[in-house]
Amino acid sequence: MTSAKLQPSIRAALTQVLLLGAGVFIIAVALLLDTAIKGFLRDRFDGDMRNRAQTLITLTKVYEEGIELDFAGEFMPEFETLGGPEFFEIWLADGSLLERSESLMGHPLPVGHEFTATPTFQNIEHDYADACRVLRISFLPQMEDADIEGELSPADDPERAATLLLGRKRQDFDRLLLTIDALIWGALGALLLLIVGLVRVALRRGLRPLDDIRRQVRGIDPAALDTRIRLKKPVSELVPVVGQLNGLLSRLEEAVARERRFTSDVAHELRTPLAELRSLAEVGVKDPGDQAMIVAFFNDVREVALEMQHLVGNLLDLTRCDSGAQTTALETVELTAVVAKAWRRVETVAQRRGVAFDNLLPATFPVESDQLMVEQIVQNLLSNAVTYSPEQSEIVIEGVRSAAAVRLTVGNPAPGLTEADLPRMFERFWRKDVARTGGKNAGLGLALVASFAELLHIKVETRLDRGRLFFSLYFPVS
Amino acid sequence: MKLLLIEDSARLQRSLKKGLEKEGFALDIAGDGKEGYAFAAAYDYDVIILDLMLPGMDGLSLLKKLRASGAKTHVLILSAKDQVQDRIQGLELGADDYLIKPFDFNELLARVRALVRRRYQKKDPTIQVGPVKVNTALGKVYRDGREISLSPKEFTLLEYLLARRGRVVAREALIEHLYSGYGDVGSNVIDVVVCNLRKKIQNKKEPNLIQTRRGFGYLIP
Repeated sequence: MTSAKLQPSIRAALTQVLLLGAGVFIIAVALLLDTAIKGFLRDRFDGDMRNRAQTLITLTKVYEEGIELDFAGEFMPEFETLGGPEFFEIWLADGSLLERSESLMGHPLPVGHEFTATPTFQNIEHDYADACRVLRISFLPQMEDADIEGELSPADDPERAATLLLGRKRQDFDRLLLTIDALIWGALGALLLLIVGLVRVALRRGLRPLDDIRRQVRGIDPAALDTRIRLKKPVSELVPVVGQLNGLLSRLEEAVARERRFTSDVAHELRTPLAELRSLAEVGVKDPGDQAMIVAFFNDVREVALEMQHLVGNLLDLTRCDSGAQTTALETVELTAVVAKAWRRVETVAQRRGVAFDNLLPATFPVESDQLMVEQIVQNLLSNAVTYSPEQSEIVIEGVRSAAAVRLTVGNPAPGLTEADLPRMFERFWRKDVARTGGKNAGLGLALVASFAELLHIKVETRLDRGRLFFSLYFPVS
Repeated sequence: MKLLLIEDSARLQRSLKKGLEKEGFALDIAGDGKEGYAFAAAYDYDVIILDLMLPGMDGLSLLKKLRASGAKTHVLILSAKDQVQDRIQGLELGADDYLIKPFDFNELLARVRALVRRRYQKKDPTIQVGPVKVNTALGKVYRDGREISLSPKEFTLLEYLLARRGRVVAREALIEHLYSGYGDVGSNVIDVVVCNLRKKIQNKKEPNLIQTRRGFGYLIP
């Protein structure tokens, strides 16, 4: 499976895209959410402190005896509890401490209390209060009974301004922020893991039919091509693919079967004459003195040689047609002359069998085709007709010229033939009778006719009509 | 020994008939399956040489039919079909041997002889009769270590009598076994062959190896 790793895989590509897309989106959302929540909480925290500071500032008043903090511990117990979560110091403009909350237990805040024009926050580490946030704010203490509306900004009169340092422990707040972080990022991780899992499951399910096809294709035995690929559940994307694959398998099976049949037929057609030759030679050599026998055997040997020559010639012609090496040379072919020549070659056999020939062709009947190939086609048709017509019968040959085509038809009685035989007649080595031994016709004649006709664009038509077989050749008209 | 050749190639028929007859076999020939079956059913041949692709009835069907009728005749299939499954099928249907075309004539001869021997249940091809030793596989006869030249007919007659040793064999049976076809040879032909054979394998003073049973036939005890 090393090759599978090197090749791009649908599964890997889909997983990658889905994870990357979902991952980037989720991380962005989480970051936004995190910043928004934390920012909101921080603002609330600081706003809270500001409100608190405002309360303390309001409580700091200028009396006739001086500035005082009108502080009631029972309303703000967090300042009163020793080591409590909130604390403050109020410093006056002259640098003296007005008030320090009980919660500080006398420990000063390690923060400067100088005047500040704007309130500032800072985070500090304090020995007693741990991590905390401190708000420094300067203010002008209010005159008792003064109108709050007419409040002056501390910057207007820094000489009189007091400074409040308000602190609050951060421990709980930090823990809250941490919890939020943990929740958001934890949820994010879980979501990513979930997506990985879902993608894998979905892909495995989605690609299962493909895996199934792959397994089935791998399981195909080259020796038994009759297996077909079957989808357990039809998937609309794959049904056409499987259909094509099965179609390919069918064609392959047919081709292989045809090839096998052809090879075994060739082997058979060659073995039989070889057996005859060997047997003639081996028996003859045992008794060379028997002159009569030897002469008879030599005649047989010659006959076998001629048949094999014919067979090998036909095979070579067919192979040339199959491989496309057969070349055609178009010229004017006089069909009347071709038919006459072919008939002369079969005349002796025809006379012996009492087969008559009725030639209805006109005196001249020219077509544009390949002379040698047309001669072979006609010769094969006539030989067939003479060989397979019953004795004392008649072969008719006629020609008709029309605007669309030139037709040449050979007709002869064929009592044994059925409709089902017609298409099979052009198969190589096909014979009506399975016994194939001997004779000049190895069953290649019509196969050759079909191959040659195809090359010359001649349409071949066969027809059975009341026990008579008609072969028609339609020559193209240029 | 009488054989039946069922084969549709006229040239194989001619050459095999010549060759086998020169080796002393009598040979009947059928050119198609139906005729072949009729021959095989009508007479008890020693061996049938059977082609598979035959007109009329193919060889395997013929074999099947023959075996179904209970005939035990040894059958040698002689076919151009060389696939293993063809051979297996032929042998499973009851053929005794399978030879692929093209074949060696001498191999065919040896296999036919082996089947003949098997018919008479002899594995050892040599038979000893008094001072005479007969090798049926090689077709040779020796006396006191020297080879005696016999004509094919003489040899076949000797072989046939030996195959039925201890039993009287009728002249008619000998004719059927030694000559092709039916009844076109006179019965005295056998007497002539026996007479010639006696002259070759024994001295005049010795008792006859081949005994005559007047009115019945011949016997090798």
